[in-house]
Order: sequence, then structure tokens, then C-alpha cells
Amino acid sequence: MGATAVSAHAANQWKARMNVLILGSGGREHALARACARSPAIGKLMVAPGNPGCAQVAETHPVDLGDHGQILALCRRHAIDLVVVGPEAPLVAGLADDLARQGVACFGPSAAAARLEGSKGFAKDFCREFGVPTADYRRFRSGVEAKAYLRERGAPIVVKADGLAAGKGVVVAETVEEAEKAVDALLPAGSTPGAEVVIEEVLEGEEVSFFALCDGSVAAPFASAQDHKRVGEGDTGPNTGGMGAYSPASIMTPEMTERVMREIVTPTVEGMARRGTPFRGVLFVGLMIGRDGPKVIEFNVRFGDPETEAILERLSDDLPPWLAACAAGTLPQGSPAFRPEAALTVVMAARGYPGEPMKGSRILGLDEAGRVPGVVVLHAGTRQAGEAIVADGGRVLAVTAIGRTVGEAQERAYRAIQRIEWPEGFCRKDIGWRAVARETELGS
Amino acid sequence: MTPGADLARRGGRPSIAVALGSGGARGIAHVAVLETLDELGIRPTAIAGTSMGAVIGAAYAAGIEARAIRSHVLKVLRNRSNVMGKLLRARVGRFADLVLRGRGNPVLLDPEIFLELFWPAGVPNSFEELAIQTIVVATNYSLRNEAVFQSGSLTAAVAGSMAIPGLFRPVDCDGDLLIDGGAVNPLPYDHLFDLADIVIAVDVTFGGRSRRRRAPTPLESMFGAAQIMQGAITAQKVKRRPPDILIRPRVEQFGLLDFFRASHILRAAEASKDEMREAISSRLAATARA
Repeated sequence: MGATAVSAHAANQWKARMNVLILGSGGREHALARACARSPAIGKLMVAPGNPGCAQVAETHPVDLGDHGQILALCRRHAIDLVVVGPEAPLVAGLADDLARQGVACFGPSAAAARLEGSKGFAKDFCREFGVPTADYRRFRSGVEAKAYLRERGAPIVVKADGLAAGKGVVVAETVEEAEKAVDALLPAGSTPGAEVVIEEVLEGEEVSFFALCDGSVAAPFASAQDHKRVGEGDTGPNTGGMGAYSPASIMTPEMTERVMREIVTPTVEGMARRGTPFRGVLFVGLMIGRDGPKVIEFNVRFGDPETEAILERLSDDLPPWLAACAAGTLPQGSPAFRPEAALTVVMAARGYPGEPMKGSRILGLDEAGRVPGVVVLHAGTRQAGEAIVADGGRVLAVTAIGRTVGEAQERAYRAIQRIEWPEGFCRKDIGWRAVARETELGS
Repeated sequence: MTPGADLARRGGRPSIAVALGSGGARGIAHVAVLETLDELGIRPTAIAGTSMGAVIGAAYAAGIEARAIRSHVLKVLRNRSNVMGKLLRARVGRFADLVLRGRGNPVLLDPEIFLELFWPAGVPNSFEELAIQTIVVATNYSLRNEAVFQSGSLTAAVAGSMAIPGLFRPVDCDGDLLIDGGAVNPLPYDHLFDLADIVIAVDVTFGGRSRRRRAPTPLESMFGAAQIMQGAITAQKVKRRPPDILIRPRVEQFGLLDFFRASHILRAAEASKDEMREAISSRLAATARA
């Protein structure tokens, strides 16, 4: 609430309206655009490349995210004050560094700090150096040595590719054979020099996504969520970018949040500063909450998708000043305010996903779905074709609902989905099932 | 006459003191005046400042060249996102939670944090560390009178001096509350008459005509009324005993909070530079002859 008032005040009195450019084209970026669009601190709001959902609340502009020159030119042309980077790839490629050289503020870390996500090996070594709790691990460049280690440790065991793999470079192997196959796939004989795998112990407990805002020297807790990675109901089938999520995660009590901040987030932010690579942006920590407390599964250096869709629906504070403070290194004490309600996002994907999705099918009933109380239909892989909205990617829609409980949010989200006419699409029918089961248990 | 002034006179060159007045963003024009002094090779023996005049005067008194202050001001204000981030840090704790949201109900900023974030590096903590003797004028809200500072904590004094009601939280100073010095002495040149041969006063409250037709919001009208009152106080002071040189940069078209028009304000003030140079040179010559 503080920031809402301060930015209304700042915008009106200090005339400090910012021109903001959001980069990306998914449901996450549509959610970010909505959160920015309702802020009094915003002058011009652009999303590039964006999608038809973003175009409802912001100006969209085609851009190749790999071409930093194009992005810089866009910033100059529209007097952009702050760039908010959605996906990780531009950050790992050094976009924040290029923007800094041009005097444009950027919400998102430098290439050096983005290695927390860009290199699993770096992240593991970093945790070891700064005493951040994580699974026991070893790094290998040789397939032969990796397999020898696998046989010594036995299964179940985790095999990870070192670089960015869009969520698909992690194998939780139930048997040694499966693990060896993963090593062969990630480190084929005669593979590129520098290729590397990380082998680590399987952590027991409950998985949760935790987000903290960081300004290079301090961090503020933002929000928690739980997501559903597998494509099939009952958490079966291959991994995806995420089929749904809900927020908050009930396991993240105020005490656990405080502990995660103290044991994981603060040492990480301080460690990165001490290494001379301060982390600015959102630190997305994949956590396992087990019997001996929280441990890091992985770091990400950007907002999660679809977690962000659920989280931002709950945000009652004004987002842009917080993003600006992260970029400027001026985070205040305290943290943004959230509504006490729960939010839940169900991803609707095109048939074929996570393999080759069907493109071009027509989607009807979006307006009707959006009229369910508490529901917003966020666009991800959609395209405007004349008057119609058609599927144009794997994950196509992120139907998000808010409710007093996860159960109510879930009921609303699925009620909205029933109004969407799209035979070529599908979704999981059980998003939030664990949380709902827990609520039911508590209620009875 | 103080020994310092005598010394300057013995050196053959009259001593000069400068008063920089209140006026919010308009006060950015003070930088152009200080640049003119630098260009003329004049180093003031004393500086007095109120509100924005104190903010810029103290930086200059710290030994930072006017040109460097200019580039700092322009750099800080170039990126609105950075300013927004800093304003979030400077906001007063939980105050916002206690008041109605929006509806023109302002959130107060903490002026001491504000200075920490916006002052250039190199401004010391105490008056004693300044390179030029400096006087800062605030209003003692508790005693309802003028508070004149020339020793002790510089940040607290300047923060109090600029604590415009409705924008900044009053500053607690030894149990008394300080607010904007503009309420009692918007152009504090009267404190300089005993400190130098020639007293220059820079007034940025002068003139201005609101072109806006629509009625101001309650907050706007309060700021506007305060500015008009400050202009009236200055006019009365000048009538009673004018400074030796009164400079009025042509910034009347700018508002109290037009900080993002800093480059325009500086450009407008630039136009007064020749006039300033002439006024100062002729007065210097006249004083030297006398």
C-alpha cells in the first residue's frame, strides 16, 4: 500500500511517470503488463514482442529478443526509463549490461549475475562457497567419470545439464541405467568441449517456488507459489515449462519465509555482491522444504511462468516503484503488500505440447470466460488473426482466478475454462489438488 | 566587518557572500549563478541558503564545483526509474498505511534519506567540514520562529530547511520540529551583511503566472499559496534593505516540482548569466574604488 500511495503521489506531484518496456511474449509478460498498467507511476507502457493479451493493456512492438541493438533502439525511440526483462535468455546474453551502458535502468541481473541460472555448476559451487544449503553434488565433464560416480552413489539420483535448458535439462532418475542414459544424452562421446553435467542427491520434502526482490545489496521477500511441471494429471508424463500454479504456498508460513530469507536469500545476495557481481532483479529460488529445513534445488534469475500469473493477481501494492528500486539499488525496508486471498493459474496448451504443438487453431469464448468473477484470462502463445484469436505456441492461455481459498480459485478457473471453446487445446484438470486436499482436511 | 572581510579587502579584492533562496525545482537555477561565480574566479566567503538554496549551497560550500553540481543534477534526474526507486526508499515508513490511499493524500518523504540519496558524493556531515562558511535557514515549527544553523549536523539542518509541509516529514532537531525555511525567511541574505563587502541574493520565487484554467487540487493550492507568500516576504525584505546585488533568473514559468525539467530550468537561467556577470563586475569595480 505504501508504494501505491507513494507512486500516485510521486506521479502526480513529482511528475515522475516512468516509461516502461517489458520484454517477452508469454503469460508472465501479460501479467506483468497488467500489474504495470494499473500503476499511477507509469507514463508509457510497452511490451515487446508481446501478444494479443498484452496489446489490451499496453503498446506492443515486434522485436527480436536476441538482437540487443534493436532493443536499445526501441528504448531510445520511446524514451524508456526502465526495462523489465521477462525471460532468462536475454539476461544470460548480457542485455542488462548493454542497457546499463546506455543509461537505461533494467530490472534483471547482469550476465555475470545471471550465471546463477545460466550455469548449474556455477550455482552449485556458489552455494558451497557461501554456505547456502543445497543438495550434495559433483560436476563432470567426462561421461565415463560421471557414470562411475553414478554407480558408486546408486539411484535415485538427479542428472542436470549445466546450461540453460528451458526446464528440460533435469532428469530425476529412478534407476542407475536411467541416470546413465541421461548422462549419455547430455554428454555424448565427442560432445562440445566445455559441456558439463551436475549429478546430485535427490532431496526429500515439498517443493516450493519462492521469489525475492533484490537490489544488489539487500533483498525483500516477494511471494511464494507451487507449480505443476508434468504435463499429465497426477504429476505424470514429461516435464513442461509449467502447466499451472497457485499462490501462496501454504508451507511458506511467516516463520519459514523468514528462515528462507535468512538462510538462503540473504547469503546469496551478499555472496553475489562480495564476488563483485551484485544481483539486481527477482531471485526465484526453487526450494525443497525437508526435515532439515529449506534447501536450494535451483536458482532462476527472473519471474517464473506460470507462478507470476497467480502471484501478481494477489499483489495489492504498486509494482513499478518496486521494480525501479531494485534497478536503482534503493530497495526500502519491508516488502510489497499482497491480498490475503489465494490465486490459481491453469495453463491451457495446444495439443502436441510439450512436443510439437498444433498451431493456428481458433479459440472462442475468451470474453465469456473472463466474466467469471475473479477470473482473468491471460494470453501466452496466442496470435491475432483478423478478429480471431488463434493458438500460436505450446502454452497458449493462462487462466487465472483469485478466491478466498485455493479451492474457490480452482473452481472459478475451471468454470472459466468450460466457457472457452477450443477443441485443439487441453489442460490439466487437477491444478492445485494437493492444496485443495489440505484445505478440505483442515475444513472437515 | 569581520576579520575575514577585512583580510579580503586588504588583498585588494572585495569579499562576496551569496544567499540562495527557496523555490523547489526552480532552485536548480542556483547552479547557473554559482557557475558564473566560478567563471569569474570569485570564491564567496560565505553562503546562506533556504530550502533548495540550502541543498545546492551546501554542496557548493563542500568544495564541489558548480559544473560538477550541474552534471550531477542532470545525471540524477535523467532516469525517472532511478528517481522512482529512490523516492520509494525515502518514503516515510508505515505512514501510508495510516492515511487514505490516493485522493491526493500525499505520502511523506523523509528529507534526510532524500538528501542521502540525491546529494552528490562529498557533502560532509557537519558544517565544520565545509570549505566555505555556510548558514542554513529553517523554520522551527515548535517555537514558530526562524532557526539559523551554522554548526553541527549539516544534513539535519538542510533536511529541516527543505521539509516542505505535505511533501516531507518535519525533521526532529533536539526535540524541536523543523520545517521549510521558506515559511520565515525564503531569501536569507540578511544573515550575510556582516560577513562580506558585497552581498548577492538569488531569488527564484519571483514572478510567474499560472496558465492553467482548471482549479488546482487542494494540495496544489497549498503549495501555490506557500510560494506566493514566500514571494511576498521577499518583496517586503527587499523593500526594507535590498541586497547589494539581486539576481532573479528567468525561471518564472517553472513549478515547485518541475524537477524533470532540470535542463530547461538551467537553460532558462543561462540567459541571465551575462546580466549577472555584468552586475557583479560593475559592483566589484565600484566597491574596489570606494
